[in-house]
Amino acid sequence: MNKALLFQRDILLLGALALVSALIAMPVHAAEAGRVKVSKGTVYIERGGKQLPAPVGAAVEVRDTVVTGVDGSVGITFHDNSLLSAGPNSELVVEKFVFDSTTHAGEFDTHLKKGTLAVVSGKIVKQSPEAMRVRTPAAIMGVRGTEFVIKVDESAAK
Amino acid sequence: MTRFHLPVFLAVAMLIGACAQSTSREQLSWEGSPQPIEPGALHPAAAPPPGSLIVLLPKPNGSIGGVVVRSEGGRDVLLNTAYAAARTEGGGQAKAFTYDRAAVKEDFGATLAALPGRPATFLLYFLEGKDQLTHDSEGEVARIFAEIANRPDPEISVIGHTDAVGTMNYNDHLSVQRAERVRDDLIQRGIPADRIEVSGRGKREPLVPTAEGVSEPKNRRVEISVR
Repeated sequence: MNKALLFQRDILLLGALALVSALIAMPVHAAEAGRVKVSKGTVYIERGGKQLPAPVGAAVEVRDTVVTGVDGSVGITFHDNSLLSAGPNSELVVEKFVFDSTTHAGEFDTHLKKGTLAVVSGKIVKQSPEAMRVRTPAAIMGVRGTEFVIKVDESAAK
Repeated sequence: MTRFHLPVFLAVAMLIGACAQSTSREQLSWEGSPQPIEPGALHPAAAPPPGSLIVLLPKPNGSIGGVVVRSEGGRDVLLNTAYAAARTEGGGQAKAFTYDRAAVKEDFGATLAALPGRPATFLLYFLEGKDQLTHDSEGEVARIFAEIANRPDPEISVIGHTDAVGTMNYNDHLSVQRAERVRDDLIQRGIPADRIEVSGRGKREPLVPTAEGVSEPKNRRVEISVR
């Protein structure tokens, strides 16, 4: 290999690595993933160790935990038009939400730690089935475009 | 030439460092991982995780989708019929069965009642070359706007379109004008301006594809999406 070629290769490599490093170094931006549309009784959002109120219109962000009390229920509409609602005594973590509004590609992971959840899938699933996953302590659900309900049943654990 | 090798070396070192950091983060894995559930996350190691129940519901239009249920150490269970259900108890294989339709209301009534309104899309049609609604759309606008205004915290997108008569530039302007006309009407009905996103697509996205220069009423429209 001659010098010019090596030089060219090094510059290209350097550029690519600089780009990758810059991407990795970028702060993780917790963008709005959805909004609270229904809020009844005790509902709050845990974000960064703080408890925030969750009235209608509140933003739901990635890594938020949405919590309902004994008298509470909450409905959230996400940016890909997915709908999620949690019944009383529930705890739902939004683990991942990525959505490209042009291509509809994305990924959506939630974790129901306890309580009940109703799910109506949106554009992410329409574009790529199973790109939406709902986790419970005992299972993972891969969503292929549908509506369903889930209950995490404490009493079932013997 | 050697002076180019040092920055490359540094960049590689940074990259390796960054990769090591990112793999150390806890990640939810779905594909190819035998144990996607974090063991004992909520419970003592001896106790199995709480069971979970999943029930597939028919959509309002009657169609059925599908959900794959994967449990720790168990085979995948595919649910794809109305009220098909799976239960996992303390981990292990998910058991499939059919749920009692009436029990869904009983067990999930409060949860389902909290589901937000379904996102909807409405079309309003316009007179040729104008930002004026057709007679038919004029008659529908009140009902559509009332439905939008009734939603809690509505997020609205208004997209204007034209038919293929005229230049690109002309139609871009016309499509935005139509969309802005609809936005102004929505604001008049008391919907906050910051809830409405407006754009014009000109003649790029016809509902009915036509040749250049063809007048097509179905393409002269504004699409209102609300969620």
